[in-house]
Amino acid sequence: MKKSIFEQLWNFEMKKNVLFLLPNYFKFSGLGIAVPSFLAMFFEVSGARQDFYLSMTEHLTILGLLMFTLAKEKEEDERIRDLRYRAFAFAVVAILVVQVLLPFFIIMVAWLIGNHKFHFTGFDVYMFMLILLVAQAAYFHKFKKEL
Amino acid sequence: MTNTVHVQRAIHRMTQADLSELIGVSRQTINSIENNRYVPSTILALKVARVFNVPVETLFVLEEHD
Repeated sequence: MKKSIFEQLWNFEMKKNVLFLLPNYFKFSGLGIAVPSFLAMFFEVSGARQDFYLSMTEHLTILGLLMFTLAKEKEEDERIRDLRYRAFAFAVVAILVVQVLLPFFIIMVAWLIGNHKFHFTGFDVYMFMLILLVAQAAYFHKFKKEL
Repeated sequence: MTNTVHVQRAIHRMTQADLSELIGVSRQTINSIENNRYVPSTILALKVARVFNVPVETLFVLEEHD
């Protein structure tokens, strides 16, 4: 009998499984995609394809970083698993705090420099995902050897 | 919580790498446990206790503030 999504999630939780992780070599493939894609964003492409080009580089950067953060370590054990969860928790809280506070910061800076033409806005979706994944990777790799 | 893993390891003349191989974790994890930077799960604590053939309470000791 086919199980509902909630039953499958329940079974997954009961097994104490963690996030679906990719093989270790995805770490290098991910970096291989993310870094060139990120750098490619700074090249100008003329013509009507500019938007497409920019969207494509943004998506590939996120894809590469996602592969990098979800790839297993060479020695994947419970300490690394815990650290990965903590790194995700840190990244989510950090980006949400920054996202919430950023508009107020912009208002303050605009007020200080006497510019009243500002937008009450946070990061766009791409920047949000980029910072989240970079924060996760930075936290995880910083404490991997130290904790 | 304190632990006596490094003492037991010395008694059994074992390196961190030997112990890590026996219980299936990285050497860094053993190092973190010994230096109280990481508290292992019950399963891992039981595995370590089994390797040294001692009760878990011998290896891991609660402190006043725990």
